[in-house]
Amino acid sequence: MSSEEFITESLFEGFKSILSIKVIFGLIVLIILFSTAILAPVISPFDPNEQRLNEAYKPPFWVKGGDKNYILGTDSLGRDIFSRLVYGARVAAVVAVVATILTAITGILVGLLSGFFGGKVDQIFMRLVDIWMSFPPVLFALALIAILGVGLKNVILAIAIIDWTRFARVVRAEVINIKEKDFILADKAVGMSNTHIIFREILPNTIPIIIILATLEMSIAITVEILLSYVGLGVKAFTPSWGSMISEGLAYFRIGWWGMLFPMLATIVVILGLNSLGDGLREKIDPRLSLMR
Amino acid sequence: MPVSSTYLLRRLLYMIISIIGVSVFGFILFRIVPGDPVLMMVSPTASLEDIEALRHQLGFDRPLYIQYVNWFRDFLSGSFGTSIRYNTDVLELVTSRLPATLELVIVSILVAFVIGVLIGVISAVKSGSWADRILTGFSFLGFSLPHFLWGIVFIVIFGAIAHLLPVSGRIDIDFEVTPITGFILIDSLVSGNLAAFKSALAHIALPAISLALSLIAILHRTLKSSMLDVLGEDYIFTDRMKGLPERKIIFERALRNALIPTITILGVQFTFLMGGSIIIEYIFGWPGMGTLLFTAVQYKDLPLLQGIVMVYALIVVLTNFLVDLTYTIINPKIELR
Repeated sequence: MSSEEFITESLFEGFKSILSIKVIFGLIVLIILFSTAILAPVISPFDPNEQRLNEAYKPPFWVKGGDKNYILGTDSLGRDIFSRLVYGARVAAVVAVVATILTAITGILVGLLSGFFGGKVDQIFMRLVDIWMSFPPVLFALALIAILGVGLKNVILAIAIIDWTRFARVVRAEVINIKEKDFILADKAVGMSNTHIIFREILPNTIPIIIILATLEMSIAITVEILLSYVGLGVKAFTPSWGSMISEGLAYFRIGWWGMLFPMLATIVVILGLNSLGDGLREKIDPRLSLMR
Repeated sequence: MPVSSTYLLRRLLYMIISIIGVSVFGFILFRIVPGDPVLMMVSPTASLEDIEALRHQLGFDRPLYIQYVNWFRDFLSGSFGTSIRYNTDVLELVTSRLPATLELVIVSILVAFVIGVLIGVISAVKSGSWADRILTGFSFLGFSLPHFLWGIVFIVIFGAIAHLLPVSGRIDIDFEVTPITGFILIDSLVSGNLAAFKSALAHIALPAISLALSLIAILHRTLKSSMLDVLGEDYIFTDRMKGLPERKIIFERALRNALIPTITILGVQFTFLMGGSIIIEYIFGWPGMGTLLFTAVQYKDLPLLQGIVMVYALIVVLTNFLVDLTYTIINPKIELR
């Protein structure tokens, strides 16, 4: 092996290990998020909504004036920030899972039908996707919330109504690719029903791509929930969400930095983790796939 | 280069279908309000007569298809109704806010282009180096984190901690700039008011950079890969053999060709940044269409909300149409769809 080959070889190996680091980092974040969400009542030392006004603005325990009971401090109403952070993870996780399942079901169904049947069906669905995507997502979400009202259910519903197009387009392209393959043509030749071909033969082959999309969709869903809660149009007041915690924390930033810092860090880590998982999986599974918005 | 006329016609047809679709959609969206949309719009103390009068004024007492036909006719003639909150013509309100939004988006694109191209070239020329790795890491951050998180981070760092840059509004209230174009940067320059220009520039810096980061990341990735392709071409090899200076090879010979795929991205990204500007305007108190949208949502001003939604959607539809056209003109071999 020449030294040049050795260098390219080791560069390549290094590159590969970076990829797996992305995936591992993402998985760790995902596991922490979901276990926190499930175990929230066990982990959190206080009721996230319990107010103790005489204990307001307590800094984290390691800062002068901090209290060991409130490890990350308290907010303007004397609520325990750590407990709110933990319950906020629950809101984020619920939105991520439910919204992703809903968008995935609609999008995959449209993508399968559009890609498999082509022609008029495809034309109609794709025009619909075009029209849908003419509305910027944030605008769409705000308009839907204005109409539906605030609350966790409506946030999830809004995401489901808006974001199915991403799944539809990518799955459709994949189906068009798969349906020309020999084994599908053979299935058709032996007279298998369309339903069987679509759901038993084609759908399983799109699963790798669906997993990548679902990972990214979770990050988008969490972002939308946090954004809506930040502007006061997400979850109802008093439901602990990282978004509302950030905006409340900004309001008393001059008194205490901890109010906005911890939910902000949690948000950044979770979004980076999910993106890194999606990106890492994409590089491993299907490097051709471009998911740039 | 002439674009094939059938393609042009088909693309035009798609655009018309999209506009009709968007209008149907915008109409339905505001008729599926749970309960009574009129009740949503009046104050809780309104009398029954007031409610019925508003219902009649909005035409909500007519059959649905007539409502749509009327709405579409008004929509084509640019009449979006009257804002309930401001009691002014919706289109007038929206167009008065449009320049601020466009200014923010255009400045973001310019900033992103300059930085994106610069770091893209560095990454390509020094591919695999530490500089490349650090830039690629930054790109991943820029691409992964949503605009509004960057906005908040910048407000905290530059506004609340360092007090370096203003975090709200378009210009200091002390300055008065007579609107000519509506673009405050241009207007202050044209009227020779340098102090106002400086203030406007300082005000747009943080919102524009928050909005630009994702695009910088995309440009960095795209330009790096297209530069690497171009630098491997024979003519670059020949240039090197001829002894052209490396600087000239990179910036004049290679960059020019590598920029083509980058430029086509800008059109699509324009619509993306239009969407992103909504939340950035909210965070930085930027008086554009985005903040107007929040007012409409807050006051449940349905005519205003509908008007804003339609204007954003129309901008997206038109931009997509123009992008597809320019794309086929730049690269006539590609027939889209």
